[in-house]
Amino acid sequence: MAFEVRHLQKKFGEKQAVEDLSFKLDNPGVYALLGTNGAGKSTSIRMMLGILSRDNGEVLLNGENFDTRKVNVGYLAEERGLYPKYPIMDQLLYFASLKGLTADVAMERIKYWGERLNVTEYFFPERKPGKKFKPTLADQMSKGNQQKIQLMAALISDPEFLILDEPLSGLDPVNTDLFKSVIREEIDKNKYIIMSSHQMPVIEEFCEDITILNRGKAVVQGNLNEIKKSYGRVNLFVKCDEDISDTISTLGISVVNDTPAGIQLRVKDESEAKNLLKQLSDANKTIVRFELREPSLHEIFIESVGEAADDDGQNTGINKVEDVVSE
Amino acid sequence: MNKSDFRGFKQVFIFEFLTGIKKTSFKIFIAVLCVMGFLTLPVMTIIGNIKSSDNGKDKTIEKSPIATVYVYDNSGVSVRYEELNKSEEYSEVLFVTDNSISYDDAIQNLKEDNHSNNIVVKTEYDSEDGFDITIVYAENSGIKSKDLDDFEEDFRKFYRDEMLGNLGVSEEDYKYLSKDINLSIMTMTKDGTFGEDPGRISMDDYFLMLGGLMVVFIFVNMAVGNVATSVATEKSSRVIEYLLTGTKPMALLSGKIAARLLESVITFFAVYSCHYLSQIVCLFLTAGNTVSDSASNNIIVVASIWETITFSKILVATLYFLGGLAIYAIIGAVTGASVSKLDELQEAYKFYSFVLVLCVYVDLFLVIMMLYAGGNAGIMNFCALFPLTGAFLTPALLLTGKISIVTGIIALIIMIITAAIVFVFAAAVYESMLLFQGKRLRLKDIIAIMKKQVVA
Repeated sequence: MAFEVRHLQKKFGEKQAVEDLSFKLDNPGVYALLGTNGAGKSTSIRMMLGILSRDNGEVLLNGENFDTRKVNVGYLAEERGLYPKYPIMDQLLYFASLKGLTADVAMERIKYWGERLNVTEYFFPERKPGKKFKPTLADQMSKGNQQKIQLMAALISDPEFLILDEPLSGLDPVNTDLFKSVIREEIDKNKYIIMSSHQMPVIEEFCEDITILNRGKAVVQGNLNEIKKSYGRVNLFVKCDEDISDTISTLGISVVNDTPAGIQLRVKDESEAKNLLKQLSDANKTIVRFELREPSLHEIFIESVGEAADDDGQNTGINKVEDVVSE
Repeated sequence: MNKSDFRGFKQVFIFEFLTGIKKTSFKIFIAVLCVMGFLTLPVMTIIGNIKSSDNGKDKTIEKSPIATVYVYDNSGVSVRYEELNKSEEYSEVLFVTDNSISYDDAIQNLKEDNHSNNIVVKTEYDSEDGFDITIVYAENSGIKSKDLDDFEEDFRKFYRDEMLGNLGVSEEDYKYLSKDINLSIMTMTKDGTFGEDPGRISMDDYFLMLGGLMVVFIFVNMAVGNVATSVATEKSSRVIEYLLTGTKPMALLSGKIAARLLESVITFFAVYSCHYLSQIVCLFLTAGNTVSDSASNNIIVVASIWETITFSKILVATLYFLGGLAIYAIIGAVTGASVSKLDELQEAYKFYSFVLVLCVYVDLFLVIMMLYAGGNAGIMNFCALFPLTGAFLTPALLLTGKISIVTGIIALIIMIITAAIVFVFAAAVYESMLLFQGKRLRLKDIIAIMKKQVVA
């Protein structure tokens, strides 16, 4: 199975929400979409799912048009949603029926996921004799538990293709670990997953391929390890017992951060790092730590997107009439 | 629009229908209507019976509290007032007919003794205006208004009898003259169809049309409210995004509307079943001879509708009712899609409310005009054929025979075409509006979106 996005474009009014986005998933695994708020991640996902019309581009599965009504797709939206006043059991059965599941199969899956996510009590509460059974409504649950129900809705059809838009946002550490273990299980089942997140460690933990979006445009794209390699081993962390600032300034190495834990440096290449190590050694400095490494995803992200781009409020969706009319 | 656009329709329909009928508001609504449907006729019958038996009791047992009646007869008719003393009720009433005190003095006496149970009756005759009878009583007397009503009724009948007696009419002739005269105005059309004047309606037809209009109004309001709330809830709770991965907006829209239509049909049949049961109860209550005319008339009026109703009329009227409901439900869906938050919905109802009130007033105007001044063919055809006004009135016009089955079918065809066009236009804007999260969309915004979508 190969999933491919080709030249996806979307404009809201005069704003270019997504500009020529292309990527491909040839093998099962997790593909990450990164970007600041309003970078176009959710808009891209909505276009892939066919919820939002696209101005240009194609979304293909095995060379054919990707239709979510024909392919078994699970979707966890960024904007979480449940009917607040309806019983959660009814809602999940409804969502399952829209995915073509029979009531029996849906009930089995609800039981499984209810236990897996520790929410069984809301679906199958203990019936007390003499008391009228009242099903649990969505608005009677905590935000975290509602999020679990939404994850259940995304997974209930055992989808072959999973789209998770900010799956871990707003979760406490315990539930974050729970969600991560579920995602890991899905990866182990050879699922195709597209994930968007702000949490760089999560992306590094799960994803092999990434696209970093900035103002709707892909600024960094490819295999995460190769991207890191392309930046080279230029991040140097040094800690000595003595003051080494004179040596650093003499060699003209730029200091990124100087903390009591050590000094973070940016070297031009490995030879510059080796040169520094030799100088320190020759000067009989006590080297506690000397670590030359590739940049982290966080560092790549900040460098490629820039802090200033964050929260500029652009392209957050259809919220002006002109956005609708100009579609 | 193709078949795949309606994928998921069944699931949406089942979910919407089941959640709809589980709602407390729906249960209360159907319960209230059923209770009303069941109780109206029996209550009216019982009240009629009580009134009837009370009247009978009064006449045989209770004597009139009137003490003296001062009669000043200037009509020239020879009236034997002593005959009134023969009835039990007026056996102790003194009739003073000799003008022993003048009319002015008699009136003055009522003023001075404002608690007296005396009354003054003055009769006059004018060749142009006819007979004029004036009854005066003291404001603080012990004579109740019910006693006066009884006296007025009895005196009128007595006076009429005396007049006819003066003319030498026999008792048999009198009975003959007292028979009801039923007048029907019929028309003969160019094509030879002979029937009642379609422009005029009887009081019974008037109440039936008014009742029908109110029933449709209630159903429309319920359907619109449910559809709009459902759409707005899905938008505000963001469930819509999840739903759209499994189904299309068109399927969502049609599923919701179909569910509301089925709810309405079930409600209607439930209410009618209750009404039918109540008729059986009424027949049981009226099995004895104690029933009053007014009470039994209620049953007869309802039963008489069926004399002019055919299966084809019922079918066309039902389809028309559902079509009207669907058009208004589509307006409700667009209204719901125009808001991002549930609490904005009330504000968004403005356009719908305006259309609804305007159409209902036009229909009311027609019905009142038909009752008092006769109908105007132009207005009636407009109300029957224009889908937004016809939704409230055409089924009643058809069932009461005020429009022919042919006109009904033409109206139904127009309704179906209009509903289809409105659905296609609404579905086009609905898809764009569903993901809109911002300030409430106004009518001009919706029209702008519609233009854009239709041109595209």
